[in-house]
Amino acid sequence: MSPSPIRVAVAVGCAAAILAAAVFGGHYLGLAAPASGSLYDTADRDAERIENPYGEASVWYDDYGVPHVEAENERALYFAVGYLQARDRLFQMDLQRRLIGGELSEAFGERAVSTDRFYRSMDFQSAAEASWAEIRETEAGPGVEAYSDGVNHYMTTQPLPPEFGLLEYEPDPWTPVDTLIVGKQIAWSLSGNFADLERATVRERLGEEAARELYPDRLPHDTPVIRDEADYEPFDPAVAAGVAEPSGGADTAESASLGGDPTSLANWVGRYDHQPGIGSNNWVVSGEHTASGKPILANDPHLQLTVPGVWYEMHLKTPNMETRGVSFPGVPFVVIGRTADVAWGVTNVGGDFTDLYRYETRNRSGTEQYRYRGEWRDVATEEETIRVADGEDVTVTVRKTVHGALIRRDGARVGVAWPGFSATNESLGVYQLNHAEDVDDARDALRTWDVPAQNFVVATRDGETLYYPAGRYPLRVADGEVVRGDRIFDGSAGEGEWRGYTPYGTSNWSGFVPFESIPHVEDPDLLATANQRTMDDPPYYVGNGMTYADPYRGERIYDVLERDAESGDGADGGGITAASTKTLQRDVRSLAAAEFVPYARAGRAGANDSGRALVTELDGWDGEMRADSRAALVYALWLEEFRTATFEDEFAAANLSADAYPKHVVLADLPADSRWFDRAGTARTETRADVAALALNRTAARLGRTDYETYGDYNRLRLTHPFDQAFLNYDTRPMNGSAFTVFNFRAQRATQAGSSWRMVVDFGNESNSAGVIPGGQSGLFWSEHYDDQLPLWADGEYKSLTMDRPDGEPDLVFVDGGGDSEARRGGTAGDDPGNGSSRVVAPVGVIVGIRGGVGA
Amino acid sequence: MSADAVDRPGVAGRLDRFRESHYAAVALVAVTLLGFVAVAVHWAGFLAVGALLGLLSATLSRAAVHGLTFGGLVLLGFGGWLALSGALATWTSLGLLFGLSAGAALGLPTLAAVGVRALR
Repeated sequence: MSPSPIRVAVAVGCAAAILAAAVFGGHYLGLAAPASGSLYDTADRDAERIENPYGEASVWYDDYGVPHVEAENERALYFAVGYLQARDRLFQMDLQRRLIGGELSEAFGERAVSTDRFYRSMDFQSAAEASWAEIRETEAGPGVEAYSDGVNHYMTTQPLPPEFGLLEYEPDPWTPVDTLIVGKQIAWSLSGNFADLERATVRERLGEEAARELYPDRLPHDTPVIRDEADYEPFDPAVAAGVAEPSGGADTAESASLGGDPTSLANWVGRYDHQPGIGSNNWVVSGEHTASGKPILANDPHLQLTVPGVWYEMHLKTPNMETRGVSFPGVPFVVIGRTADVAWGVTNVGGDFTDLYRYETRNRSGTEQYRYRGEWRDVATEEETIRVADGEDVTVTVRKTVHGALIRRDGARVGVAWPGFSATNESLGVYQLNHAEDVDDARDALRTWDVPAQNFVVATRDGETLYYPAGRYPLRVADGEVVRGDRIFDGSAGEGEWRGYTPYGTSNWSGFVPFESIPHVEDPDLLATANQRTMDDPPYYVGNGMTYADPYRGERIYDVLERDAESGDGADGGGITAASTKTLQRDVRSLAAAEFVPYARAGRAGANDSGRALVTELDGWDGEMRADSRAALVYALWLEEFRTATFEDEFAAANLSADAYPKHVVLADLPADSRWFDRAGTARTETRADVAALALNRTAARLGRTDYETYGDYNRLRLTHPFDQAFLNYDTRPMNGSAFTVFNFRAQRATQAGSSWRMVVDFGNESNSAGVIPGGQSGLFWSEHYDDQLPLWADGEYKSLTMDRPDGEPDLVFVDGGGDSEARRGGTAGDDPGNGSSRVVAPVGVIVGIRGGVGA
Repeated sequence: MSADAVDRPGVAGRLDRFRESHYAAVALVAVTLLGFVAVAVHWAGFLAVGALLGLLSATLSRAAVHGLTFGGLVLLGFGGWLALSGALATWTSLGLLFGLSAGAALGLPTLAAVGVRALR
């Protein structure tokens, strides 16, 4: 008997449904089907025994998933580090190298093509290759190679993070150049800067006087990093820059130009340079001012906040070294942290480390040429293909001149020089810091630091302290004299060149400031940096009002440190303690508010009823940017409106975006009757009070349109994974802090930024040393350590940062995999000083996630 | 004998008789246990197990119940494993992916079982 038609229909329907599921959902079933889905491969990982070709190592994970690694030699150690970082952060590592290498489109599709175009145009890949060519010959080289081997061992033996399955690709093997390119990414994000292009645009649109007024050479404040005498060996910048030497055929190329309206170019590159508002704090206090009589060091670098976080904490130990702190995933060494005897922290030197050049150009038989010192040269070009997921491949032409990358957009073109285009040795610098036993070791490590220039503070167990803004500071020559770098130079005339700099090759840095001549402070009693001006009258040009940060954090830190040094809460009756240091890292008092709130009050008379009511809400406010504060909300919104109302008319008329508005301290310093307060299109002449009143009215209207009740409604933590899926994003929450408070968090841009790592090292009492990251150690959303530190971080709390490891059996064991004896010996200086190269090569990196989101 | 079954010759008849015998329950348990292994290897295991369950089910409705029961047991066991791994809450927060997981576990074996049983 045949089945009834109904049953046949049921069978066919079921078969069709199954077929449709297999055809259209097969990939996702492979990902998510219970038990077999690759999504779950990383949900539960048993204890692993891993073969290590370089020797034995053991790993203990603590309560926050921080690996404590002990190895018999350094290569075995760094192999383990590579494996561990891949285990926790492999997708993030791959994303970072794709970002800076211009390969995001291959994973994310067409929306990332613009980002890839920029990074390909800059050819960071070649710069990283040049760096690796130098680093591999130093004592850090074997560690970088072993690290790469460890990453690759993980990739080939263990399940990949689920993100790869979701994007349907597998990562390429990790190479030492990838580690170096991660360093370039960090360095560029901190010191890449197109401010000169922005200033030139403003100068052209608003006039020379306006540019000088809004972008002063020196920001109006009295709290540089170095407030007293600096230590440095005097030198003659003119001699170092080679002023007296023949110019080699320099001429004046009157027709050298940008080739067109730079607006589009400026808007494009502006997305990828140093992000405004990104800054950091660090300070060091000697035993003179601490309750214990031993130094205390604090650091909290402010970077874009990402999921997972930009830092990875680890504690590394061999018979010859021990270090603990944070690194960027992809970098084997501790970038910020401590050894048993030395601690160091960094902030960015807000200097000018990027120069731009215009050229006289022509086209000869299809070849693009530029005039250089009296002769025509071909622009070096190379065609590269950007592979695009689910789209057509895109071809990009990489152009270079003698100065570095030549980037173009809509007819405008500019040559870019940046020290990081050269081979640099940051990796060696941090490697050496990881081995430091005293302040001399630390100083020697900083001597090898190239890019980005960083404000290093150092403290030692023996009581020594040091401040050194280490890095490569270029000297520029134009018209026979050393000049500032805040202009677009005539590249055809050879103007503003950096002597001893070879982009995408090896530099000898002869035209840069000698290390000993960089103003620093030996054994400071109390010194703080917050990206403000390094010193008032440096012996050479370092930066300008566009590159340095507003002074508010720096001023507040010095105020509190001096107060605590006098009266502190130390048990001995005074002095700074780890507790008072942590309290300062939690400080949310805004000195910007102290400066601007009186201006808001001055607007009361001219405001409407709603605006006047807001002024009343500011009465009695202590200037603390707390999530539960109504006054902080009113102030924050008012300040935005005040700044906009001040500049919007002139800037919009000149087709300049709000990104070009000057620093807040410049706004605060404008006279009450400044022309910038006069509103375009009105008969009367407005003053600061009038604009303040307008801003009050706008603020009142804005509050009426939103559901903001307190500052935390506005200043809300929203950290999103690159996929921006609810299960991958961190929980949102109201936050204390602002861009101008020591406790640093700002939510007001497309990408959120703030303290990416808080660290306190107390050599007076080890148990007080502490740190915390905004998120968790693991990038795997299954992990209990995906975001377990986020509440601590948001509340200003810490976890331990001592040199102790967990007791008991190790969680992971790396067994001797039988590598050849030479590999096991290592070759790193820490294991065999005789093998270590004495070459002094270049420096580090600091990583940031995908700026502005993928394809932003 | 079930309402939709009639005496059939050959293999079909033997299958009908087996479905009504005590051995059918044993076979269902065995298939279920083997099924746990199969779905741990590949999602197609849900289909294979569902088809076998359908083959062993006495009626169409029982085929559906067996398919759903198997999927439910897999979900229960898988959820327990995730709970032990500390990942259960994360799993249930995966949105569409969680829906796909649960839908695959319940839907695939049920469709396969019903589809096969519908052909008698």
